[in-house]
Amino acid sequence: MSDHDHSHSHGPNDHSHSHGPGPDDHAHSHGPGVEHHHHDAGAPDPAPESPIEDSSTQALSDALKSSFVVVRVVMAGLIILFFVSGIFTVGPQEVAIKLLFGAPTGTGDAALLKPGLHWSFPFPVNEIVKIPRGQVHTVVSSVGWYPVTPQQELAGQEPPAGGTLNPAADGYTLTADGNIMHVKATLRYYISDPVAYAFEFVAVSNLVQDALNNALHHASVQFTVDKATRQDIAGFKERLMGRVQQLVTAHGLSIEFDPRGCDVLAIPPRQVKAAFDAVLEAENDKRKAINTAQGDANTTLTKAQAEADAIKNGGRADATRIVQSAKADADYFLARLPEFNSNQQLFRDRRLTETMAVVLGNAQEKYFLVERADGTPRELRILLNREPLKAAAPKQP
Amino acid sequence: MRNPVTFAVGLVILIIFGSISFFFQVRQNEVAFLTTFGKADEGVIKPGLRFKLPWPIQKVHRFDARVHNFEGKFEEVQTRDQRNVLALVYVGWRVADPQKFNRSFPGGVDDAKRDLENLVRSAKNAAVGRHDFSDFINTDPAQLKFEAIEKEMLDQIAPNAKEKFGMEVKFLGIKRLGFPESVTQKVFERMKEERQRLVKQFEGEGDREANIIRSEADRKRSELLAKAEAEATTLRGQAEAEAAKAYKTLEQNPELAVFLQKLASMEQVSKERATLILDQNTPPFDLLRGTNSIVRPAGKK
Repeated sequence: MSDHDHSHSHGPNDHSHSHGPGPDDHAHSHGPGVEHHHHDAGAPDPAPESPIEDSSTQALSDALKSSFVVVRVVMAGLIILFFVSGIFTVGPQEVAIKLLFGAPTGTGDAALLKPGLHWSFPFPVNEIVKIPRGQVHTVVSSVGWYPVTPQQELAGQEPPAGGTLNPAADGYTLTADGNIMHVKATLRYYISDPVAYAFEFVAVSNLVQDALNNALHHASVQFTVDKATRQDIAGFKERLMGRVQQLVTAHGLSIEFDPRGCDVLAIPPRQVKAAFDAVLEAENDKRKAINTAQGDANTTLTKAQAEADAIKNGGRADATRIVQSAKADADYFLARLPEFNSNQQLFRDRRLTETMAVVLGNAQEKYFLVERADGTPRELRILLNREPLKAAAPKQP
Repeated sequence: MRNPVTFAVGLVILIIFGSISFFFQVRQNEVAFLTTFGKADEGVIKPGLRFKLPWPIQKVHRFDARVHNFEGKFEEVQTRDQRNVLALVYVGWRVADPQKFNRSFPGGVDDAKRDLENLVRSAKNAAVGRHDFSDFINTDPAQLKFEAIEKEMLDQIAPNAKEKFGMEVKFLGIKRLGFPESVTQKVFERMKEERQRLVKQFEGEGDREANIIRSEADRKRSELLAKAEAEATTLRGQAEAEAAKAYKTLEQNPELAVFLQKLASMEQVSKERATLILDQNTPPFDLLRGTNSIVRPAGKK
């Protein structure tokens, strides 16, 4: 069949017809009928073709025409697909770098494609590398904490503490006083240099985690366990972050810390938790005793100040009283002096009598011993055994 | 040109195969070199589209040029003062000389990691062995040599890695530092003893400081009162001195002055729950004298 097709499609007569103005003309010229006779006019008679062969040729011709159309459509489709496949979007938290034959098409920010719709030639001409620049990345230190399964973490449980720490499983750090503590740090960061982030490091997050782990040990070996876990938590965190920043800068890790910074938790080993709690309790007791003493001292000083003020006021009052009393006595003396000088006895008797009247009025108890008729003196016997005075009952409101 | 479409397709295919055979691209994160009939060319090929002769004449060898992260093993090392510690070191490295790297590690990066681990172990043992344990942990920052030890390790590894393997070790750090497992138990015991000592210390300090605070307050109280008394006494003295000037007036008639003073004293005394026992000799009761007496014989007292 193929041989047959071949003889028809490439025969000398076919050849003369195949050079029509276009492929369509060529296809139409192969129909049986008038044209065929026209070509045969000046040539030796070929063997007459059977009607069956003509129809096969026609069918083949039609098939070829259809195939060419399909090929053209497919090619056009492929070309369209080729160009459409170059359309891509950059998300709101992303930037993209367009590579031309593997190299960035710019430097610095000029190399970055901002969020939106973009187009590039498909690979291998262009290649698009997307980087989540606006996204907050989080790394958690991995070397300072004991292993906790996600289930335990969710349930707020902890694995039981053994008598020792297994280096293969238990993480911890050494402190400046040769002790052990557990430290956990969570660091959040942004990508600051997307080109370096994508092309300078295999895994920036791993390196950031290593820097964080290194910083945990670096800070721990400078702090005692008490300072790191209780007394100077802020200082410990500051030293930790300072070291991470130093390493990030030195290694050129192309990141910036999130403003929320780093969460750091440092605790003593669970194996000695009770002992640490006892210290806390003792320290609290100490603080309580000191606070109580300070309260007592404040009370004492406040009272003392009041007493001192009272004493000073008493002194001032006494001084005033003494001076005023003296002046009053002097004035009284001068007022009475003329009367006294005029008749001393009368003055004496009158003043004595007046005074006795006042004295008798003031006295709580008065006993008058009347002279005996025989003129002998009276005897008065006094038994000094009085009951002590009872305090007066408080008044009812 | 019988069929332009066929020609175009053929041309495209030819271009594609030609491009594959004659061109190659080096990505931004790669480092590459060419070999011509197996012999490595000098120089490192920069990122971009590059020309080469087709295989088997030339062949491209490319490597990831980014910084790789490598960490050794958490294993025991001994300090100069014979303390056993566990240390784990991480390293950031990259392929700096791809020809040398290719010669050293035909198996690729995995082979490189094995040799790098040996280098790291050797440098770690040497550096730790040159330092006392107190160089690793110390309350005095001036005595601490943590960073210096890391630098010593890096200084030992970096030249060797570059010279032997074509690797650039960019940085190195201690990732973990610890004690052997058996030592941790002793550390816990020591920590417990320290805590007990601290408990006693805090208890004693609490009592002592409370006593100091109270006694200090008592001392200040005494001082305050003494000063107040002194001030009051001074005021009284000054008042007495001033009163004395007034009392000079009394010198005009001391007898009257004393008499008046006595009267005033009597009045004052009688105000304080006084009990008076009087007889007929006391005025004004002297008026009653003789009112109840019998008539005495003459000449008899």
